[in-house]
Amino acid sequence: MDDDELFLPEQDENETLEHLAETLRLANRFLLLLVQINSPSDRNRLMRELQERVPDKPLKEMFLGRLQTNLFRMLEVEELPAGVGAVCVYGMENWLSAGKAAQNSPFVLNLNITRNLFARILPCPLILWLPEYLMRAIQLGSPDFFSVASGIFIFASTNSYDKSSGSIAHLNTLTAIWGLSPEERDKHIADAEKMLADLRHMPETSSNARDKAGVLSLLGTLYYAQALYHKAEPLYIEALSIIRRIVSADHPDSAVHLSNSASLYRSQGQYDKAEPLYLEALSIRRKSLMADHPDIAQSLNNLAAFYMTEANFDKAEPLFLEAMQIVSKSLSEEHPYRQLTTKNLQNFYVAWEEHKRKSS
Amino acid sequence: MDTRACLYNACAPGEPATLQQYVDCSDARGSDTLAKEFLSKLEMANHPLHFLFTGHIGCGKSSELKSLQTKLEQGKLPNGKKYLPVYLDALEYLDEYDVEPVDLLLAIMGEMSDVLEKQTRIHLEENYLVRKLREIQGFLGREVDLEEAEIPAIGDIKLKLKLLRSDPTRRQEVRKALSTHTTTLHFEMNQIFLKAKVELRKQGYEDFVLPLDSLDRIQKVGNADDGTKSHVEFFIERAPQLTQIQAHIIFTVPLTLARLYAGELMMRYGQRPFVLPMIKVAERDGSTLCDVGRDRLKTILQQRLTGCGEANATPSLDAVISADAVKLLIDSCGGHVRHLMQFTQEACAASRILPLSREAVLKGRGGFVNNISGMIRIDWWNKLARLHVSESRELDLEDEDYVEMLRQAIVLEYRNGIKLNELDDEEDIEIKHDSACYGVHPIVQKFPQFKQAVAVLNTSKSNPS
Repeated sequence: MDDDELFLPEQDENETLEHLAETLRLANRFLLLLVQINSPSDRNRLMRELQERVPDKPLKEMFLGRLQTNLFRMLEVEELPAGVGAVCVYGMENWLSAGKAAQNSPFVLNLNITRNLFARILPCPLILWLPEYLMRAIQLGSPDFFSVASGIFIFASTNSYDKSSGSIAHLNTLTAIWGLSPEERDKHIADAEKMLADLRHMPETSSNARDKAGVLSLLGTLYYAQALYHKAEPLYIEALSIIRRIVSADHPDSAVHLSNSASLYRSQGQYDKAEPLYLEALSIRRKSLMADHPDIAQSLNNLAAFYMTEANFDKAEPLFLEAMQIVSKSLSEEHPYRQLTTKNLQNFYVAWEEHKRKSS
Repeated sequence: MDTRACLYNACAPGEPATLQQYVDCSDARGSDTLAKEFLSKLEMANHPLHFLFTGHIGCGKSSELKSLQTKLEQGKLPNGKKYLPVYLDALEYLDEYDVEPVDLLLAIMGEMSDVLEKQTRIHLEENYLVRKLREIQGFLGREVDLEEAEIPAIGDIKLKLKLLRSDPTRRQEVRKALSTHTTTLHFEMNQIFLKAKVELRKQGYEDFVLPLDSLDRIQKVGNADDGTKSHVEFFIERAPQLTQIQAHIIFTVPLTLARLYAGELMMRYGQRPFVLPMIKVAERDGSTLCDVGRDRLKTILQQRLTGCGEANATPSLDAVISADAVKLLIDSCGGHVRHLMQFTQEACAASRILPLSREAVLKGRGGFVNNISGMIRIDWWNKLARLHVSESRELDLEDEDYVEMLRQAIVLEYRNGIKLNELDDEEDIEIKHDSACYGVHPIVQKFPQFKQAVAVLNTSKSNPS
């Protein structure tokens, strides 16, 4: 067998997206397509960009925000627009937790059973948008279903505008985590779990408590990066409660944890829980930090991105602009966070334009 | 539709091969086709034949079953006998994940009565079973609005059973009602089969045959908490419920079950499962290419191009896929037909230019490669390397890791491929026919971690210290 072949050509997001788009252009029947993407905001963006590439093939979006047991039955009664190009199903990470629980869940098991039935009710491809852990769960729990996929499209999480997180330092952590291989990441998780266990055994001094909050936050982020929200949530909540015990209400340290929890809730679509936390974080930072501190810009970006998710463009604009002002004063042009903020602002206006176009 | 789109849609991985697409690969698999194996056993059977059929997910089982069905429908066999195929995809009747053998029995009854009605105009008379099933109608009748006009009572069953699908509570009630009488259920069912057989004889049939597809896809049975335990529950613990059926049946069973519980299956079903192996692309030594296998895979690709050219003509293979690309496709799939289909589809979507180039294949299969790299645990590389360099290429089934690798098609099962008619020693046939040999999936072989693990093993072999 040939040994000098290119083993795995580097595929960037654009190429993978084009590959997916071309698949939709070619397909004239039911096919199963699996997309792996951890970050919900990247996923939403990619779905939009995909539709832009195949404007003549309307995508039917189905957000499954709550527990479901049988995808086939749901699709059986769903109304599909004429000439539908593909059905996009996503959001299962909001109610499917990791590991065996997902593998053995009725939702996943039923996929195996109903595998041959989808072709009878869908005239077009079915695209499942899944974080990595769910892709695995389906591969292990419904191997027959998984095996008929006509394509597996893997997207890494990018530097997108609302990769929101507690602080810029935290943002660097998040970026680093997204760049890890699964093995490295699992090793970090194992290390963090061990550290946490050790710290729990030690007496409750304020430095131990701080370290504990830090490790909880790190562990939470390791899970958050994989869209394992069920696992991240309790960790973030505990970190926040520890910090609140040892610092005053207005201390900037609590802002980090407030922000983390807010981002988590936002990713889960729990907007009513997210907003107050974002607001509190911003207020704390305004009070306790210097006027042009970049972390204030971070909070402004977070809150603005949150309003964008709710399509509240008017509320978001002044916040994005203020964030831009702050970073222009306090960070150099090459600083990645300043570049990120610039990109955020650009993307914001593009999205606003599109929103105005669609609703007119 | 243009050629590329036509080829793309002709390679749908989920569909069994149509009559036109089906290619007999038995000489390349090293085993007979299902049809040949089953029919030869059928001829010799004095009792109801419970035939076990297995193979990797995606190896071509449904295609083989369809091919058998077609052969039977087309008429008499060489021995002059005619059999009526009652093909049943078990999961057509079930769309909930927890399955009991009773569900299967109902499904069989439904399909039987439907086929007999439609294809042979045989009406089965009222009996206990029909009366019981009428009782079930009571559970459904209230909410269900049947628009079918006058259908004989038993012909209703298929429709009603499909309606059972959508209502798990009702289904539980039905199960309860029937399970208290399973012995009676079997007895009545077998009476019906006997009657059917006699009626069929009047029409020139010798008997009927029940190919049951998709049983291997059942992942949850009773309280078993994973796939394998469920399979054990269904096929082994509850085997009597299946073997008491007095009819010639083909059961599709999962490959891992067939390998791990060969003895138990033998005891309960009276025979070893027939394994449909991968198409051989290389001999046991790993480096000699198997031309027959490669040729068959090429033919499979060729057949998918039927009608894809201008004015529904069939283009030649090299006009659509370059020779380089064909070679790479065959190399990449390791004889796993579904993978071949998937890689071909992915290549079509990865490039707009025909003939498809080698680069298109490489680009297209990237997702698959990426996905499988995440599946392989760190300690598996060494095990894979050990399998690869071993003389016998046997699989240690005691080792759970190897079993998982087999299930995930990271390790593929082949036959050593000596044609039966080349052997003149009775004993040899028995041994060789059953001897499976295992290979690491060709794509996995390309990973640097694998190559490294192999290198380490080879060095320690040549430098024993």
